[in-house]
Amino acid sequence: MLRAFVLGIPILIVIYYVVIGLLPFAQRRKARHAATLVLGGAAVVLALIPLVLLITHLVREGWGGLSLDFFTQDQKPIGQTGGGMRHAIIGSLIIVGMASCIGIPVGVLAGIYLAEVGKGKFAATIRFLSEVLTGLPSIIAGILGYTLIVMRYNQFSAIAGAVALAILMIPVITRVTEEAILLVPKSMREASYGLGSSQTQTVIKVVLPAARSAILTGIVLAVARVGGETAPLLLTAVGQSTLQTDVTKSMAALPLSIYLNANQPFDSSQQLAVTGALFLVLWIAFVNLTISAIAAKTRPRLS
Amino acid sequence: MLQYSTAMVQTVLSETDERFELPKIRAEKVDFHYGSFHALKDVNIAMPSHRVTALIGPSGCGKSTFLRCINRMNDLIDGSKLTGKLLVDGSDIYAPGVDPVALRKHIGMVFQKPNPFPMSIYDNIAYGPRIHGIRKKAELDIIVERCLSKSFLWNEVKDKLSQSALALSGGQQQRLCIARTMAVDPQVILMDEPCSALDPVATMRIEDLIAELKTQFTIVIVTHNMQQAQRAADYTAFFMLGELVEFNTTREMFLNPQEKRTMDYISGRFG
Ligand SMILES: Nc1ncnc2c1ncn2[C@@H]1O[C@H](COP(=O)(O)OP(=O)(O)O)[C@@H](O)[C@H]1O
Ligand SMILES: [Mg+2]
Repeated sequence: MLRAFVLGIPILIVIYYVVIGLLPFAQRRKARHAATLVLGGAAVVLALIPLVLLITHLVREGWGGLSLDFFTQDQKPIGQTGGGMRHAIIGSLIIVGMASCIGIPVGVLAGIYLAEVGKGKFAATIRFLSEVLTGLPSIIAGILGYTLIVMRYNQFSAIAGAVALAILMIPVITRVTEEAILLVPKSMREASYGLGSSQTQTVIKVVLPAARSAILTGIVLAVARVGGETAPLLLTAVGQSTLQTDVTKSMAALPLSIYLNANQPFDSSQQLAVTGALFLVLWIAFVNLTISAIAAKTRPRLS
Repeated sequence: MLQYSTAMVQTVLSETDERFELPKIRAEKVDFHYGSFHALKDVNIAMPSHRVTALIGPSGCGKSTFLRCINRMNDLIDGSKLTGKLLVDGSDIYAPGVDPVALRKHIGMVFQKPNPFPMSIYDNIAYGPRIHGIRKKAELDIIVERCLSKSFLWNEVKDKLSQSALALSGGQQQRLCIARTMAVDPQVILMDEPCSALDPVATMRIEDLIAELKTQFTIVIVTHNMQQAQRAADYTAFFMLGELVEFNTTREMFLNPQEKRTMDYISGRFG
């Protein structure tokens, strides 16, 4: 399989140029067009294969477990059959909710700052840092949450998990916001300034509304991405097998429970894990689709 | 051919001079730099109140730059610097302590490309008054109707005030932008080639509108179109390479230019 790949691509390229070269000049453009379509289509199919395999696997293995119990029951003690993921779903909602409360305002405000003020050394430093942080391995965010919160209070906690997730969200939201704002045409700003509005008024009444759907899309993508993170939570929220809503204690989260259950040698645990994974994928897909539908509807046309 | 009836008759009749009447905007030794680029060189001019002054000249000569100095729009450009004095009603708008935001309420601007906000027609007009603290619906309603009527747009849009301004034609959008500017009650309206994106019919309507507006506002209009300057403006300033070459009544300027460069330009020898 791999060898076919490694050899196949150069061979394809050679065939492509030979065939094009043999064709009469007038037909080359059409031939190139056809070849591009075919190759492009093939690449799309190749890229989709793993995705399709993954999803069919999840659906086949996990669908059966999507019962009412899955949503209403907590995990049973190890080895017992049945049980659900209620504790983990609620835990995820709490942790991701708290992370959003920290990450969204900070990220959006930082993005506004970079786009609107964004000159000088300070802004350049922030921009550089946020670019670096965008590529931050998520386990590092976990270590940060561990060092900042867990070590200080000597206690694993949902708060520490939320901080770790917020650290992952902030740079993404910052960049999306900055880019969305910079895309608002200069003519919109000038129109507003020309009527005697201040920069703050211009940002609030013209720039942000025009950039709104792009910013919202970015926020939702960031939240959804973070909702599926496991590594940062391993060192912070750690996980729980029962419902636990005290944010200063360790708390369950969906990706954590998937990871922990998948490592158990029992069928029922593994069933829970794969159903949890299916649910997570469906949930993230649902959020993405909803948001793109809303964004498409509400996107203001810019002249 | 189009008939530019009203605007043309008006200019032919109104060739005022009286050594340039009551000056509204006066530039004294204005130099302007974009970073190290010297865009305006020692500009001295006095533009009369309640008249239309056209700024003409080959492209890149600094017409827009000068226009944007008058409402301090150039302040938004990094590294730009103005020296000299720019006086409006006798007070220097670049003096320390002058707030450019407050200044722009009194000196409105209409841009080359119509730039309505992506909002309803009503909200476009109400934007300025709202910014300046008018909240009452009844008051806003009156302003919206008055400004749209003045810009000859009311009859065309009165039944669709809540529709997006972006659905209007280019010419309608530009008249909307003029109405939006009037809504904050400026004293001066600056227009930067307001017709260059419009077709001849829409252009003619804007010119008619300008003729109407000068009873209430002082208007400065940049145009690359010399016919337009002759039709619409009482006074004309000719710029070249960042210098003001000549300023006079439009009539004198075109019939009897004092400078050779002006003569060459208006007779189309370069441009
Ligand atoms: N933001 C800017 N930064 C640097 N140079 C500029 C800027 N805007 C305009 N210029 C330069 O200033 C000169 C005058 O420009 P402008 O006033 O726009 O000319 P006009 O409106 O007469 O065509 C041109 O040479 C132009 O390249
Ligand atoms: Mg210009």
